Amino acid sequence: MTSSNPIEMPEHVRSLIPLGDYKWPRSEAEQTIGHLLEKFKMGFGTAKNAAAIDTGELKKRSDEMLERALRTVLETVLLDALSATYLGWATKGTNSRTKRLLVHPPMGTDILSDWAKRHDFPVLSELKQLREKFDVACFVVPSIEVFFGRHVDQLTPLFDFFEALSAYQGRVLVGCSSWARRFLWQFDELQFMLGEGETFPAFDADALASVFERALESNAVVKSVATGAPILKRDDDGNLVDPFLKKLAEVSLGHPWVAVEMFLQGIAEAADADEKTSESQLWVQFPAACSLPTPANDAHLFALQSLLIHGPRKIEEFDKLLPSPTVKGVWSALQQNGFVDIHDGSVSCAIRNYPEIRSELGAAGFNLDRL
Amino acid sequence: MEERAQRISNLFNDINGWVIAEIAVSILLVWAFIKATQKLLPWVSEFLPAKLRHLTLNSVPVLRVLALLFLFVWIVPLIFNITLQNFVFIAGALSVAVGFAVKDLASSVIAGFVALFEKPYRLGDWIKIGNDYGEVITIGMRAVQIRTPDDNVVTISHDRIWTENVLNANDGFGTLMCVATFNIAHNQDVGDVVVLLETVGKTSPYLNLDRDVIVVAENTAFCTVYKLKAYPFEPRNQFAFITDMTERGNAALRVAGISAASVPEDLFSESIRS
Repeated sequence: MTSSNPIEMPEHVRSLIPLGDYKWPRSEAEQTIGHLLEKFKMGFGTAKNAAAIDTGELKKRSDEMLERALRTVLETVLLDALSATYLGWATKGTNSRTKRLLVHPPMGTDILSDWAKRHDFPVLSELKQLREKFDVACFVVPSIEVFFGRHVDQLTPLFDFFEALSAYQGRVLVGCSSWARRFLWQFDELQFMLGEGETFPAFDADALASVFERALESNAVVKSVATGAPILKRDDDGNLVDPFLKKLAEVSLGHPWVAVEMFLQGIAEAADADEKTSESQLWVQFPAACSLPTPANDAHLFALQSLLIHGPRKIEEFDKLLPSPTVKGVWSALQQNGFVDIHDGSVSCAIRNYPEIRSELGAAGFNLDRL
Repeated sequence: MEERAQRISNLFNDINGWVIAEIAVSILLVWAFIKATQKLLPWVSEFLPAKLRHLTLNSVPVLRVLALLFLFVWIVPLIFNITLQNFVFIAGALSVAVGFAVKDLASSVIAGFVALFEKPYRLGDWIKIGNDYGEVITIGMRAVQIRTPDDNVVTISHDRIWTENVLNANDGFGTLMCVATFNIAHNQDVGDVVVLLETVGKTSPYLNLDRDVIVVAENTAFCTVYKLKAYPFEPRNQFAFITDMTERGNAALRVAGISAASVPEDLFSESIRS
């Protein structure tokens, strides 16, 4: 479905941006208030949107090829952005800093590992391998979250890592989730050792359109359920005609992997479509928002915040990281509400619903991540 | 005599059925507005984070005063013939009546009005007046009501602000300082204990990450007292937060082999003897 030509992306998403420069599509207050209004509407049963097609005539579409194509294109775009920022530094030392930090919101993939693999950089996934890496000029730590837990007993490995790293003269690129960084920022070691860091820029409608155009190419026309217009159609000035992608960029908080997952969750085809027409015409709408019971139980919220800080883990590992006594069944309740996915006893954040998770935490007063 | 009667009758406008109806409807509307804000805004505020909750709650007494002022300005010209002479006369009569009959009530109402602008407490604040500590749940015309940690509602007259200090733990902000106290035996490394307790505070799930965690050590006769001071992200979590810091702090100190203080043997024996 995708060609081998380079992907033409808008200039502002071709490389990473310094942390603090992220342009949120909606301010924190707007997100929180918007989220609360949605909850009120859902509570009163008034959250109905106008539609250009009877949604009863649509059936959910699951297309592995489309999913793979979209994720592959997006990953390529993100890997290119990483290369544009770090490759010269990692190979030639074009920057005086020897240690750099990539901060990112929760993602479905381990992007830094993929980037290291692409360019043959060694990856540090376990602390016991640390000394071995000191023989190389540059290595990558894809996820610093695996080295610590938010508990007084579980920070020692992280501090040992920083101490060992201070003796290392080569270059190291460390990946860190934005939630983990928010927690770790109160420890001076992270600030002194790794500095401010960089992050992916927010993807607006144009950037998302470039990703979708490449992934879909000319194989399918995707129309918005709300307006009936093709979402990728542009007018004579090159502007997108339909507002779907603009709203998608806003709702997904500018995180392209969230936008892609929401898109894949919301695609459908006509219920009576045969194989041929289903290839050429798809419909897309915003997936139904998930929500915690109102007011949300604290146990749910603490669990979600802990999950965002620590990343995917075995359920039992969270017992020590949550307020005691730990509430049994909290993870399965969150899974039923669509906030988390559980596979083989490991729990991970449901990326498609990340904006809802963030809004729930923001509405309850939790400290949110910063980009 | 006739002149005095004429003067008194000049105080009032002609009051007919329409005027009475207008007054009644005005009072009813203002009463409904006040009741609606008192019910609706606290309900809405429960869905909001601490910062927005305080803002919403604080608007309740302000709206009430504005509504009452509106009612006053609306009704008085309907009843009274307002001139400077009449105003002085009515004000004088009112002063005498208030001074003798409802002095305490007037004092509380005026204190409530002052409290609205001076803001010694606002809805949602955690305050201590005398021996009573709790969250401000209503601010009425005459009194403030607080809910204590034991779930008792205490009604305190506004005029206490004339004579007593009001301790306000969060002063309109969305957070307040919590303190967990640890009594540690002497001859332990203060630096180690401070770092350990600081880490305990920093790793609590209740912590407000925007605020610093501080540990203060102080020598006493029998032990060193460490106070772990930190802020929760939600003031209502303050007791859970203190418990969490205490529980984790005790466990961490035990694991680190740092012993808690004990009462000296001779003092213990002496207290038993006495």
